[in-house]
Amino acid sequence: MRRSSAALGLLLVPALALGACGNGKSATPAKSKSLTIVITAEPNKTLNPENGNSSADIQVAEALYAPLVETDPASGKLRNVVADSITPDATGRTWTIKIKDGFSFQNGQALTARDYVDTWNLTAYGPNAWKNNGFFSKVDGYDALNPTAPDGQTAAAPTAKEMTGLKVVDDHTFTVRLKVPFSQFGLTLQYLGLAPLAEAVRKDPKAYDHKPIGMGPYKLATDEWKTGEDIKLVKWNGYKATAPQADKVTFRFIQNGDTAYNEFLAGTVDSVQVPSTKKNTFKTDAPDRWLVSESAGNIFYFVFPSWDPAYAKPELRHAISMAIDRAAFANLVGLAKPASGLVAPGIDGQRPDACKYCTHDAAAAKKLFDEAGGLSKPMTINYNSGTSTGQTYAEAIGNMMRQTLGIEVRYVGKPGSEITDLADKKSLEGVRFGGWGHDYPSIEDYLTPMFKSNGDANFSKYANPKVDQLLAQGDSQPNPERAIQLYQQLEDICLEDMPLVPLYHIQDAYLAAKGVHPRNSRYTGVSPLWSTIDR
Amino acid sequence: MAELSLAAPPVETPEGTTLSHRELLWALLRKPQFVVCTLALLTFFAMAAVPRLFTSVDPRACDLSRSRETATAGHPFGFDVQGCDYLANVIYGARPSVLVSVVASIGGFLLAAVLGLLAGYFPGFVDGLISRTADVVFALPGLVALIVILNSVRNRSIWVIVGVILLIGWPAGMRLMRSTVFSVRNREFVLAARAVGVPPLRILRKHVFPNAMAPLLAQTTLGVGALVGLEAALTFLGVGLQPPAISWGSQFGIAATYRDTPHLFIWPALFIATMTISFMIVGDSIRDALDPKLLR
Repeated sequence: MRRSSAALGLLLVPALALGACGNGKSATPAKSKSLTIVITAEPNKTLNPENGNSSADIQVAEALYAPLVETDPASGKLRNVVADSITPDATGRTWTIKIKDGFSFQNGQALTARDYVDTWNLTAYGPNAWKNNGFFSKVDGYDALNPTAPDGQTAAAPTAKEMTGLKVVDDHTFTVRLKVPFSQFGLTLQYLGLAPLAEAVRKDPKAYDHKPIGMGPYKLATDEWKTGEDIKLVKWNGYKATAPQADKVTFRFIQNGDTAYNEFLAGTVDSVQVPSTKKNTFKTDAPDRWLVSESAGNIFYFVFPSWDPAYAKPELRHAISMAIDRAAFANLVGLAKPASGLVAPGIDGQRPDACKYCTHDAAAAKKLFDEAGGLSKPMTINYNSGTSTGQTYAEAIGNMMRQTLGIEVRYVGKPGSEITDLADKKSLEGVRFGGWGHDYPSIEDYLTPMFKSNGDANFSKYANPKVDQLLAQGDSQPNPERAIQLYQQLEDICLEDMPLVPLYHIQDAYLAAKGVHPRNSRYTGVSPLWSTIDR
Repeated sequence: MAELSLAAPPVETPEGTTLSHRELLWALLRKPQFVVCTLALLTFFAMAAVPRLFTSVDPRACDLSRSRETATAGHPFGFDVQGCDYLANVIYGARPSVLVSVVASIGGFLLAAVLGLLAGYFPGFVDGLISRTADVVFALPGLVALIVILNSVRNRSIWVIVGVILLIGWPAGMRLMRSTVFSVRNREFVLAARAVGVPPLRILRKHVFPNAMAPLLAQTTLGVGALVGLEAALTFLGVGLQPPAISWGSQFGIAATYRDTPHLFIWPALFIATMTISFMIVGDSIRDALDPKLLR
């Protein structure tokens, strides 16, 4: 044993030394403003933005393409990038999008409204099977391009190649008609998976999968990129909007978070996201070179079973919520902020004090709990046995219930899919954990999935006609401020009904080399691409 | 079968052995490591039976805001992830380990002894049935089979775990017993008993078992320590005891995800190691004492 490890050590030493030299040279070419950013994920399959929806795809698309609009990292409000204006009609159903003059593709072709409309039609065309196809399901005419068939049968060929809802008005204007009014549509347009493809690319998209013609701040430094290699980019001078500082950007794919982290500590890369295994140690591993996101995304909560009469009284649910010490719980989770509402901080319309029953008050909780008649049976807490933290979190909640409310607690560990199946059949006993993160930064994208009667993340099977009605009203309210007020009313109702108990929001941590300062916004999170560089 | 279990206490005087009860005990007590380890084991047994003797703190009185704090006055082991007193938790964690290891050992000894006796004494159909079944069980990879079976059980108690360990673990002991029975069954005193018409069960009980049990006994005592580790491993893998049961295995499993807080890991590790080593040394001493070759 001892002998073999010594031999291994001898072999490793020169290898490590060589590796360090080689990488040291390539990573920091004499003081130029270059960045090597690690993407902790599988390498992209294609650089076609319309055919990628993973976070790696979007991160690369952010460098190669420009969005119509973006969230201002300083104010959290929507601002135009390529778009000149985005305006809904009085019902919020038809949207007119004007784009600025002067933008062009990296092959010289000027960017026009036609490029957007044709690209979007291409993506929405079912047989292409591009990943961002689903985005257009809200648009009028989408169904004709995506015929559905009952299980086991092949769908018929689409009857159309273009959505009736998209219309080119002139070179810089086009309109989008939706199936139903949707006041938040403008916000969704900041998604980089909607970036336009140049005319040459649209004719033969596959040929350009690895040599994209972008329209954003960076272009490929090489002729072609091979899946698995680093993506090497250089600044493109033809870009008309504000660009990040770096002259050269390299995206390196390292699938294992721990390996990526060690690469950073070895000094071969400039920025890496801290993997969950290191969240307790990163501050000492890389002193002065870490940052924690000012934003706190997503919302994690536990869900009451609406089908169980034992939890029927809202006062009982309020008491359970008040029995939870969220600050201590967030501390246990690590890199988390206690929740005080249903919407992640940084989202327009989020109120820091939305939840009346989210403050820890053991005495009041116990009093309210007893007044509501208590719980007639032990409280069952279901946790995902497939994660290392599931049991710990369940026990933490369980201990608070037991000690504050004086009830017995049972813990049941099951695979996550089984919990979901049981809950879908309304036969899960007891509470379970859940979480949701937005697809586009809107208060609506929290409330609809979590509380609409058939929402994607409505794990408690909560159904309230008032809620559905207010959501429809908010969706068809063309004035953004008015819409947010409606959504806030809705949030109040949901917090009063409390089909779920908000617990915490998570933060991200990053490591960044000396002299590299990733943008850290409380609205848009940490962005290594948009680093300030002073080395 | 019930009568057979009377033979289980380890220092019973077996007919035909060279050591008497008293001599065996004396041989053991002369070894200081045996005395020390027996005392350690008695302490663990006391811990499992009456944990209150060792701590007055309720292991389930937790304050999450003290999560993972290190030792302070009144809390010499610090606090666990949930903010519960860790000393109390480690002490209360002895019970599953002791129960699983001791019960599974005694049960395993009995099961292996009975099946081994039957297989060894009745060649032909009985032997074939038992030995081939054992071969089938042997063919299953042990830990994998344990994980698969335990995963399919909804509410796992200590007894379920013991049962599954017995189900998977008996063939090794059975084979050992069977082979020693083979060597004993044709000895003169057995042939004599058979010749005067003593019924087979009585021969097995009075003559064969006492003379064939020593290797199995030694192997079993040596294996107790491994069972402590097995219980911890199963709980660590998530197929053992479930919360709110307190056990060293689950403490270990949680400590593995908080590597920056070493005290969570050190204390259960120390207790598991001490108990395992104690069982092994006691088992080793008993084997040495029973082994005639090492005796003089």
